[in-house]
Amino acid sequence: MTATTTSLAFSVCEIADRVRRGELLAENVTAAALAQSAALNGPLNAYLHLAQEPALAAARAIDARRARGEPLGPLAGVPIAVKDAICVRGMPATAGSKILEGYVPPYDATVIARLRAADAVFIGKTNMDEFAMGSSNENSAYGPVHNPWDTARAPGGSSGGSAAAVAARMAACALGSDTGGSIRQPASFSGTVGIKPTYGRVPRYGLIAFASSLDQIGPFTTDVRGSARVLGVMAGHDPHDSTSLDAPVADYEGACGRSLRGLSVGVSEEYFGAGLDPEVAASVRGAIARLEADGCRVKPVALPHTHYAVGTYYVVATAEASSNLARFDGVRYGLRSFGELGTGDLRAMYGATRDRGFGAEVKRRILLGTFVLSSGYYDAYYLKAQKVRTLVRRDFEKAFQEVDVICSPTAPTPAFRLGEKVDDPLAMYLNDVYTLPASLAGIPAMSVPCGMSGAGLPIGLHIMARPLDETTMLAVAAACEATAGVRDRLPAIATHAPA
Amino acid sequence: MAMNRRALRSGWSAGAAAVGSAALAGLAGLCLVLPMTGAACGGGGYGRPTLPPPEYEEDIAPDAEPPEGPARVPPDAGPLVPPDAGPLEGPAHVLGSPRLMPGQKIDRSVVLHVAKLAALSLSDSEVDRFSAELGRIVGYVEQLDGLDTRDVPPTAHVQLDRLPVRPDEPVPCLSRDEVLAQAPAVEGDGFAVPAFVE
Repeated sequence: MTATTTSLAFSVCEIADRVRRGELLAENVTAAALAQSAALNGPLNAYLHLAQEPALAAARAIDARRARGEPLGPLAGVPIAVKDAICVRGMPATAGSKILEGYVPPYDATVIARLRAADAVFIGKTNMDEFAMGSSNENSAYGPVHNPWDTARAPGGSSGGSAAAVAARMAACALGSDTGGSIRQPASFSGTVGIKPTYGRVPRYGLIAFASSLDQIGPFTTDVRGSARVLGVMAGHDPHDSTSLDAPVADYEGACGRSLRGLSVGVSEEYFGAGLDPEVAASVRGAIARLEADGCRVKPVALPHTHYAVGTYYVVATAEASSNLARFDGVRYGLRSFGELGTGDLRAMYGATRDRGFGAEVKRRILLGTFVLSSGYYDAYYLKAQKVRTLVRRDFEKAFQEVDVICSPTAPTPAFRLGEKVDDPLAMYLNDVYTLPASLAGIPAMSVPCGMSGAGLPIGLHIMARPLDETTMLAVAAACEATAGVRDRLPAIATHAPA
Repeated sequence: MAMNRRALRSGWSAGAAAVGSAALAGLAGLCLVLPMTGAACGGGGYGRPTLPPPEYEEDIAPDAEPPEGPARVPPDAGPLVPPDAGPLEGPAHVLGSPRLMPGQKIDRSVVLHVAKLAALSLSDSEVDRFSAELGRIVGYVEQLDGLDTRDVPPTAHVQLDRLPVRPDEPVPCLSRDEVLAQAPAVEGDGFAVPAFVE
């Protein structure tokens, strides 16, 4: 079973449209995705759970409805892998943490319910950095994910399992969550398309929360049009999430292929400074030049507070995480531990449960977040960071008076080696320098493959747009994809799956 | 609940919220069984825990009523207070460590203090490791001090003005049995925890 000889070569839209027309059976697509996933999970560790039987049953039910002449949804038979931070009824959800081992959510996240109603098929739960805290997937309690392009390298994080699953064609689409770049950076590292929608565009009910003023759910796919279709299904107000916007959902798929004539693309030199790999810089500048050839005007814009985004983010996000993760106390779900003191001590239970259940990075961030919120430090760190967040937002508001989108590298380098930054948390955090500002500002942003390094590693173009202007962002992404010439590249492991 | 009045000012600590869960049970007159509250996910909210509000905060005013009952002692505050020990004496006793001084750098005592607030038991080697790592990270964050933000309003989150509110009407929710099926220990129709009051 190899990706080039089966339906796994198809994109999201190709699968759904063929299943709807009766040219392809959802069961066959699902079986192929499950087989590819089972064959490659040993070397890649992309999945924490494969839902073999429920997925096949769901696919057969779709085929049966088609046979009866019933209409099928826009994602008919599309095999989707789900980041383990998103609840799917009846499937485990660990969020990559020991503290949620054994937890099986009794409900679907809103995005899952919407995708299910669109006839998507959920084939499993993907590995991730614990509670989405990480940029390399090395913080998973269940072992790191390996990058399909080079298994010695990180897939990015925190949605690394989702990125690897799509890159290796173990699924046509995967869901991720993006708090500071956790969809876009792994998309860049894996040669996939990944979208962080506008804050509030996609409901988060059923997403295990990390930093609630930043978290967004979004898709990974093999092409821009597929991400657009999935986004269109997931977007829209949800009464279960008071932060979800009730703005109308635009025709995202229709935006793909739209002419770029008259659009202006902003380029900020703050995103091309020290630390940027020269190959990445050349590839991204090449993509921007092709957008210019497609009819865009390219204009310099200033985003002077970019440099402060990392510090701001790691105060704001850890503060929110420290309170969000207070719910994990051994009382209502997951792990309960009593440590040395025996079963009679409630306080020992809290401390031991959290000590044994959380990994080092999660503890580090809970401590940092608690510190910046604590008496005597709140104004100096947390309030200060919230004010700098305002300055970062104002940078974008001003820039978007001049331009329609802003393009940059998604990450400063192609995928780095596993283990390379694991002992230096700050170096790991600095890797997120290009994705964090859009998260702080709440604007939509995405990564689209724009080239390959000399060593054969994917490089992503980062496209940021005005709030709720996903359509313009997708139009630019589709144009980039059309001229980049890397869309059909597959990692070798995906085409030569071990038996 | 009188002492709750000042508790919200500076955001929650994990420790305060976790302890609050126990305190709520005490106030409700339940020794062993906590009422069901919230699911594992916090889809909404802005960094607020779904746990009940904390029942104490570290900077309780000197004239505030003393905490009531041992449920307000954070984890690792020393040996378990016997149920007959009577009310605790006040904030210093609750914290069990000195208050942070503004400008104080991250050292072992700061990490131990913060770990208590966060209800995290840490090993000695973890305390050393986190002291060094957090010191570096906080040192990096201090570059924000170089920006003049005197007239800049804080951003807690974006686009609040556009957020719709749903009607305040009861709707069906998850079944009690399904939710309790995920709990480490259940008694009757609630979550079971070790007894902490007699």
